[in-house]
Amino acid sequence: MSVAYQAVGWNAFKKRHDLVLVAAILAFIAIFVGVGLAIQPTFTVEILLMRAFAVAAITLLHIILAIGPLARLNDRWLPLLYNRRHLGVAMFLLAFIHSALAILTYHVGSALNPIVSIFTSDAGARMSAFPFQTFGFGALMILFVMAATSHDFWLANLTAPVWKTLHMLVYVAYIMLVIHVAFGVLQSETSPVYASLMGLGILGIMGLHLRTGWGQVGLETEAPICEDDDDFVDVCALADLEENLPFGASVGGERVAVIRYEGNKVSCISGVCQHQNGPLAEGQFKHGCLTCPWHGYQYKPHDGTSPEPFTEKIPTFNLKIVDGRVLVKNKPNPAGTPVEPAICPC
Amino acid sequence: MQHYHRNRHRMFWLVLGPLALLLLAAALISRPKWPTMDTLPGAPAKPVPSPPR
Repeated sequence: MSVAYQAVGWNAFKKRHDLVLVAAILAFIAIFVGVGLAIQPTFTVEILLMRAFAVAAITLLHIILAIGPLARLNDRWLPLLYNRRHLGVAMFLLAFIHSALAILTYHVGSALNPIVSIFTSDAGARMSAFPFQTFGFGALMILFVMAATSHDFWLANLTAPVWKTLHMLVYVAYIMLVIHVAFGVLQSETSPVYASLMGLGILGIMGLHLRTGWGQVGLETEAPICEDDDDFVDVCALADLEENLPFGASVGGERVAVIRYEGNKVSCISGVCQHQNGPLAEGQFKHGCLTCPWHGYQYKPHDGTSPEPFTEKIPTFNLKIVDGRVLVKNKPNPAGTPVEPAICPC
Repeated sequence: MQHYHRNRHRMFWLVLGPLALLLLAAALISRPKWPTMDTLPGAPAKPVPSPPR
């Protein structure tokens, strides 16, 4: 939403959030190494540090993957969603330190290039020689690309759909990390604690995503085509529209937000925020604008543009009210096209 | 126009979750039997218990 480039748009909340994050990571690593030395004195500090950074990274990855569905189930999680990219960069750094420690411990010192050694040291036909480090390296590369493009600069330049698609690679990275952990440390670590935690983590993330996705299926049901005019679809009854409360529907395969405001005006704009495809129909109507619940981007309902000095704009939809029904045209207008609001006789 | 895919992509987990669990289970089942100290070559022989008198 900024009009000038800033490294990070710091505010008091973000500073506090990051301070707590760093303190929690440092405390976790200190406790992990301390407890590890106490209960497994045969382990070296290097090995325990390597594991501490790995466990911290994969725990943080599970937290990151849980924030999205949690924020859709309960608004209390939204502040974490606003700062999720900070968590992502922190997770990449933890994974990077883990990989650096692994390379220093296992791959430096031989005649072979340490990076080449990652790909060749596991080569073999037996399961104990499964190339788990290759999967870890691949996941790290994906996490690097995601961390490097996590800034709004890249979001604006790549456009939200490309950026989102790129960041969906986190799911590929997740599967690669499951393979890295399952065929790596879990081959020699026979304690059931690690395997159980990994299994619970997978079940938890899967359950949260499916619970959220299933709950939203109804919202994606296509509104029926109007009998009298097949260019329009019947979105809802006028009585369904509460003032200043957006109504979400699916029109021509696209999410839209219908809003009644200023008493009797009714408009329809895209239900997809230009910033990160956030759900505008779940936002609030504030200061004459529909406000995205994710990061506060705002759009005027009659033309889909953001208030000055911001330049974002989203498509608008022609709309009419016939016999108490709200009919929306099935083709969007170009982003930022003004549309005269329909006047409801309420 | 941007497409809304936030909910549809959550259903990826119908495939991702079981796949991840399957991989985890496969890895645990195929875990090799690592040699222990007493099975290594050169390990001291176990003391033979003396016969009961």
